[in-house]
Amino acid sequence: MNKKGVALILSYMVIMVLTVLGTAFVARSVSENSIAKRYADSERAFWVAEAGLAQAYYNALNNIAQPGASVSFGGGAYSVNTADPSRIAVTGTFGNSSRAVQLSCAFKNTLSVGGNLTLQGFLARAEVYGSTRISGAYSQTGGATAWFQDKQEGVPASQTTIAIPDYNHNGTGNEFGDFVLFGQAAAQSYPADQVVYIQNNGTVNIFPNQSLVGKKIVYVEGSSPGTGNVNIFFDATWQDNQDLTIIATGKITYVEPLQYQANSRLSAISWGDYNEASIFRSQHESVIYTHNNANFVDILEWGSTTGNIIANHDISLREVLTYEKYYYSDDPLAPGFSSLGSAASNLTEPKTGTWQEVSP
Amino acid sequence: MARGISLRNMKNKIIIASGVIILSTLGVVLFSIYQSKQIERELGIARPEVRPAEQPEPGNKLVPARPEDYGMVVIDARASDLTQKDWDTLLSRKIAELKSKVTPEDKDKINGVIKEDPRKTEEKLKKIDAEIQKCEEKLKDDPANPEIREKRQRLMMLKSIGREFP
Repeated sequence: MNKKGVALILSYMVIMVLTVLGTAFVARSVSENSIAKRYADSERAFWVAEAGLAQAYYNALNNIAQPGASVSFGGGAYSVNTADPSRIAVTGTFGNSSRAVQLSCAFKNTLSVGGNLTLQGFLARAEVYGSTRISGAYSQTGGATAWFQDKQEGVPASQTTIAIPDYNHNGTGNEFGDFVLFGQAAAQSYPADQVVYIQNNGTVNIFPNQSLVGKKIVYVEGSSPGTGNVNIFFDATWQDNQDLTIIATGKITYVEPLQYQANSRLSAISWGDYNEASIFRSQHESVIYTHNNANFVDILEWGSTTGNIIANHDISLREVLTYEKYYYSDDPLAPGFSSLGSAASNLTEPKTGTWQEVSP
Repeated sequence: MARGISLRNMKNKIIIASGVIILSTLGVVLFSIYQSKQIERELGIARPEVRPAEQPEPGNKLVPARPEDYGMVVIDARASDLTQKDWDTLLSRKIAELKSKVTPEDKDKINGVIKEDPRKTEEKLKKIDAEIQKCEEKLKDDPANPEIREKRQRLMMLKSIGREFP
């Protein structure tokens, strides 16, 4: 080997090293550019989703139909998903990136009355906080008095009632058969250990206690309209932080609601009437839906309901001997209510405090 | 001879230098790749935690439960309306169960909601009796009237609760 040979080898090596280094830096530069682009696209997709959610929120508050197809915005596009009435979800896309954000929904009104709202009785007094929407008319008789924070009569039924979706696919919704399948769908949407499914044509007397802790749905299914009735008695040995919905194909009668638990809610969904009666002071947090009438009768001491009451027909307060107060709750939909289908979205609205980013 | 040693030394130096240069280059390339991955990872961490959208579990099989397992009491559909004695028996048993299970703290909370002057409760029970009497009168003329029968049942439940609570 002479000096020329050594110089040649050294030159080759320097060129090789420089080539490898150059390639590495070019590759890194390309990779960083790609990362930066993806990051920028992802951020843009997020803000497109946020803009879409703001628009969807505005639409929901103002009874404007949500866009069915994706909407171009800011160089990207967003789409609104309202298939599940318990939430309003918006997916934003920009380039190859997508991000999704959502708000949980709550019912808009304290009282939603598909028929008439009546108050009868010599000493009856009702106070309703939040909004009351009545498709029929309000009347009071026998010296009864009432106070409403915000009451409107004659509003379209689409804003006061929930029709049962056509679960049996026979072309007609709102039938007893649809309600039976709705109850099953609601129960099946929760893990088996959170559901109590009872098939019975009699009257089931329920005493919310330790054995119902952690349950989301109790479904009492009768074989025909008027069967599968439920009486609920006080909630004295229940626990804090519970959220249970009792669904019945018959009537539900809540006797002496006695909820003192913190952050617990016991809701009711019935094909038949919902009735409430009490001899002592009563207080409960409930979302109540009845396909028929809601009757607050034989109330012998002042009581309060915090939640939302939706009656496809009438709500009546009869023979109430003292005050009955209704407070609005903007808590997200109670268990089972999201299975009532997209029709419920006319009565629900997204709540800003429930924002969360979800997987697109 | 001296030249031969010098060339051999040179050759060794070249091999060592080449090794050092190649390892350094490899190190730089690996470090570069590592940093790219690090940036990507950090960008991922910087984003808010994304929670998967809650999806209902696909159709759990519904298995009918026994109401008794949950402390429920079923009244058969074919049975006639319960009498006051029936309600007294059922609700006094349930209220006794309840009283034995609640803690003193919970008892205080319950009393905070329903406790009242016993004379007031007596008055209410009298009103309920009068209402039940009215129902009985109406049912003499119209025994099948579902609304009146229902009301009588409700009043009977309230009467039993009024006697047992608080």
